[in-house]
Amino acid sequence: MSFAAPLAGLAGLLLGGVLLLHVLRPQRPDRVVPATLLWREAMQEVGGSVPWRRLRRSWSLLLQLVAGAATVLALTQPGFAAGQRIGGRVAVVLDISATMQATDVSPTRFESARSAVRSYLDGLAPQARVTLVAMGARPHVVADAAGDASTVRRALDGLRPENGAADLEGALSLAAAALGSSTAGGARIAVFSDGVASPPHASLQLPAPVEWHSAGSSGEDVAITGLDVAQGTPGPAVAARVANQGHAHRDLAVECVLDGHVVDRRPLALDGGQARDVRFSLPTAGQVVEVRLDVSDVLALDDVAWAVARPPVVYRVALVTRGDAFLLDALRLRGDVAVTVVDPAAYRASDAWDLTVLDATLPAALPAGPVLIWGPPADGRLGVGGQAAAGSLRPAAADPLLDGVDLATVRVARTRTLAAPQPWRPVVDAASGPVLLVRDAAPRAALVGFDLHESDLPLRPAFPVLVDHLSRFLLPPAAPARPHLPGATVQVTAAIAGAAVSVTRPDGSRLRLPDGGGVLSGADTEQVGVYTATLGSGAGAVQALFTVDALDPGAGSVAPRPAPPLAAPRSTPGTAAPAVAAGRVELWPWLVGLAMLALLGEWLVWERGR
Amino acid sequence: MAVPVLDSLGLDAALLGALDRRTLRLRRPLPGGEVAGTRRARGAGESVEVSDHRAYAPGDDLRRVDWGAFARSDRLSVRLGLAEREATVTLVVDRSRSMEFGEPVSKADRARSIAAAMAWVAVQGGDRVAVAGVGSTVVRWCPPVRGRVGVHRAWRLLASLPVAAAGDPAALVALAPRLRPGLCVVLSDFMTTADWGVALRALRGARQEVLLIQVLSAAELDPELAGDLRLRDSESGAAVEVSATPAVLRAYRQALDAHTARLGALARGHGATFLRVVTTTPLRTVLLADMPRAGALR
Repeated sequence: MSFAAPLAGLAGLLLGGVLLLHVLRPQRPDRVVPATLLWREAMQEVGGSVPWRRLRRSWSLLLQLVAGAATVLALTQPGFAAGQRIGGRVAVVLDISATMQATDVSPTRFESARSAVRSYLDGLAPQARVTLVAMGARPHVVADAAGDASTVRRALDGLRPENGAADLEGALSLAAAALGSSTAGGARIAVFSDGVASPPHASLQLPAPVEWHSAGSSGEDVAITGLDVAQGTPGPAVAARVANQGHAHRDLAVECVLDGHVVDRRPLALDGGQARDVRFSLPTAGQVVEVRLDVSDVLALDDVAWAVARPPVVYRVALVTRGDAFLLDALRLRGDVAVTVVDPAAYRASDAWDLTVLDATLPAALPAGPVLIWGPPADGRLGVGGQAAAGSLRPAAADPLLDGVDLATVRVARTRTLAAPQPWRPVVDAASGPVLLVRDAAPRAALVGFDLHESDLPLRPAFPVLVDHLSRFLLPPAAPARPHLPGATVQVTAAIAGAAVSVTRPDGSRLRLPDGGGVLSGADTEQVGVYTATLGSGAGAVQALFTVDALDPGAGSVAPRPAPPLAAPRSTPGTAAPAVAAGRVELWPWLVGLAMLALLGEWLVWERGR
Repeated sequence: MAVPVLDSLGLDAALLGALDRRTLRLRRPLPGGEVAGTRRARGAGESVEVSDHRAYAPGDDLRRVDWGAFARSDRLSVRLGLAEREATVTLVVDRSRSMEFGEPVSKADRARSIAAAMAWVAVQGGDRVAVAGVGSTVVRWCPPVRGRVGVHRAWRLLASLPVAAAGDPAALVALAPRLRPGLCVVLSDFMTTADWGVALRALRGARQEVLLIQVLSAAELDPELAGDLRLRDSESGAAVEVSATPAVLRAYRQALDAHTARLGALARGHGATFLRVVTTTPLRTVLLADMPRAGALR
């Protein structure tokens, strides 16, 4: 046993005062007697009256001495060595990714790891400075405190597992940054994780050694690793990829749910490591498809996935044409638009359309909103000139609008020359010059110089793809219907500028976005399930859907993995081995408790003796 | 019917009846003169009890001629009877504050009861009774009275004796000139450092046969003290700090025994009788057993 403040033991001299109080005679009560003659003689006989008395056995004295001794002993801060404790800077990285929700250890990997972190913190020296990093899809520092373990513990208690993947490299980088250059007193990084993450880049240099505390024990998990939904007749066609990531054979069932109703259920047998596609042809149309596994495994999060089968109609599109069916069919491939064919004579620019498609016509007044002009007549306003031979087409520059568009087989007989004034930019060129111009500034516009009847483009696969790209460029979807990963950034846009926008999350909570639209990210899209964006208000409000799934094809098995290879700590001046302090088990709290008990007992003795 | 003054003095008719057969005992004859009574006095008297003879002289009462002796010796002689006279029993009760202590009755009450009983015995025996209450001086004095009427007066005075501040033998010295020859009974705790020998000498000078009755309480014999105390003298107010340890209590009892022994020796040295009475002893036992055993009563 050792004493941190041995000089405080001098306070023990006060115990002598306690004894003295018991030895000294107290104030004597008066008593009248007939005569003191004989008493005086008696006291002379025994040596007279002395100011002290013999120490008598007394519970009160005993308890007072115990209380005093315990207090004095507590002041000396006694303790005994309890191994070695780390006393320098420590960065604790706790994995809060989706796989930490696995239940292969009770109750979950996350809770198990959190308990391990608590024990680890208990083992740190009081002077250790601890930084706590939460390792999710976006690692972040949740506590950074010196000498105040309670702050770190409170932050630790407040952590919850997320649904995204773990960014190990980001978390280690953050821990390294938290340790900073103050590693002179020694530092280390302690990672509590199942290791289900992409290993950090080999170039990552850490300023301190890494302790790896593995969480989890099993990878026996069956997961939906992919979900595709295509329009079909009469209902959507669904393809789900189910993978057995464990080693044991599994018999399970796959259910397909359309708009909340189970429409199909298939048994499925999977050997360890096997993956199979399960296809459903749904008998009825619907908006949201949910596929879920009926299986008992270590992670429930990846046993369900959602997809938007048919987005709700959000936009109204006017196709001003004299009867071109190619454009109409191509525009209708996009599910969130309602296309109305308008005769050029009946078209009025004042009508409110989200997108206007002008096929071989130009009205006197151009629409105020987005517009796609295909094969226009000569017009000075847009710089459309006379006819010229075009020939083959070629991209003017690498442009996302041409992704998947094969122009090599497309031939165009004649085209209008396009002047391409600012702010227009060419996308597709021909021998005669640009044949496809787009304007990025609002309102967006696209101008195609040739008439569809002057080319074989409508017969090529490139046509619907190009039309879809142009329509999405001109009229971005309110919310991308494709599945997103938890924590992903999702942009929600209202077609009408200034319209109110809000998003209802899977748990029913509602997020209000700036009028006209905004961005959801991080915690906003952390939940898995179906999100509903409401655009506008009142009777004119429309809704868009998007889903968030824990489908990370790169995540692979949820089995715990060993520590990834990490570069040795860089050797920099001032870097030292982790400061290790002699650990102590402090006894003073127990002694204070003993003193309190003794005082309580002394009070009881005094009360009884009153 | 109960007599209030008797109640206040702790007496009752039964006890008085038991005392009727008792007499006070005087070890020496009373000096001659004064009133004829039942006590033998020095000198010839007219008692039927013959103490001596002398030759007949003219004028002598022929009834006192010893005709038997004349027949044997042919000489006229006259029987000389014992001289008999009344004794005066003076009852001196200490009324100092220290006498107010005691359980179940105070020392003062027990002293008054004894004095009242002795007064009864005295008047029953034909003696006269005087009563004095003393402290540092004589606080109350009742001259000698006789008979049943007189004893009631003595009782009333005993019952109404006031408390004096302190006791002092000097009060007896001051009382001595008032006393007529006889018995002087002093009832006190004698708890003072003053010299009681002075008082005894003064009483002897007043031709008193002295009986000292020390009245103590049980608490004085065996104090029930505990812990540390400051004992304050009831009369002087002087304090002494005492730790009631077994050793101190033992020393106290030894001091009390020594004090009593000194008083006894002093009394014997002055021809007086000494008797110790404890308040817890029943009065009947004191009067009918202890006092006869000590020779104070017959």
